[in-house]
Amino acid sequence: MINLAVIIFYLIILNTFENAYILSILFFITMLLSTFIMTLLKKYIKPKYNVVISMLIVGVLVTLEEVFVSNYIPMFYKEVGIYLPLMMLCTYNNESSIKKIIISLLKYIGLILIIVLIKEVIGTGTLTILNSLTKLTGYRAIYSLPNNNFIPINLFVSVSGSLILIGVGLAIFNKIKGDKNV
Amino acid sequence: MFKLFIGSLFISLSSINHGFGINISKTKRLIIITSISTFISGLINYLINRVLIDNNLVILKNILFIIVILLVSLGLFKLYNVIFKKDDIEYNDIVLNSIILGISILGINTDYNLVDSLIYLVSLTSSFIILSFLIYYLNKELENRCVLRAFKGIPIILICLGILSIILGRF
Repeated sequence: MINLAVIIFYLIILNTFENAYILSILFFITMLLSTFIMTLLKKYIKPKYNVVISMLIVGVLVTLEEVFVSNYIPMFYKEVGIYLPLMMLCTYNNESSIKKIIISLLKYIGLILIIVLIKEVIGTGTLTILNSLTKLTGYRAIYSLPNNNFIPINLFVSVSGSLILIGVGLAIFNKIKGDKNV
Repeated sequence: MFKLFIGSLFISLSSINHGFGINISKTKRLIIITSISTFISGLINYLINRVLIDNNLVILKNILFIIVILLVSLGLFKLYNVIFKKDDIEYNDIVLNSIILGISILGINTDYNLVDSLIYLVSLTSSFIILSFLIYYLNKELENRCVLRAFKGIPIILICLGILSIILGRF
């Protein structure tokens, strides 16, 4: 159900912790709703059309999210908005159930949050918790690390550094899962 | 034109810009079919996008984008089956691979005119082909190498790509 390529893609483009958790929430809601709708429609759809129908459902949900995000979180939309439709790659299959989806979503969202947190802290020396959401919440929270000789290392914010970090992160994820390939 | 072609080819190649080709393709034919499908659907989407922008209907672009990719991929899939009479490629694979590449085209093509967009599409698809073949052979080579079990598969490929992108980024 969850396409690893999408997760990797998001890990490459996300540079702040705030963007990571906003995207994770949107991802979680979309996947949950699309699985729920597909479970309801399961009886009426032939299995070979599952992919097409679930893509269209996710497409509609993403469009609604885009409208919401562009109006209320414009800064986030400017940075990540183009890539929101990538969620359409996570399609429904017959074995997916809501319980399974929630478990795998939580695993991957955890992976996204941890890697982006490391990326931001090491790469920029700051931790952004509330910046794009200021318009909604009225608060702003950006913490920066004290000056030192090691951090920030700009490589980790670049695509190449992200790829290396994601590779190592996935390997650790594999090890925790029990030496199975992702 | 030449500047745009070379520029976009090298930009997407050198920084492995939008994570193209991260989906490891199982066969060489899949890479070619994905590229053709992306090229055709990118072009159609460019024209549709223009119409949508003129009529203030940009909200529909995602849905139309998927429908176009689904139809183009279906057409190519049927054509492939008729010509080669083989079933080594799945329809879903073509769609999924095309959308990865197509998303970035969707975001970019509003700034370009038709000719610029065509050149951009050609260079993007060629850089996708180069990268996909690179990953295909990298994957094949790494399968036979002694690698830690947790690193086998995608993690080691990503690390290799990261190192490769540091080297290419220097140019």
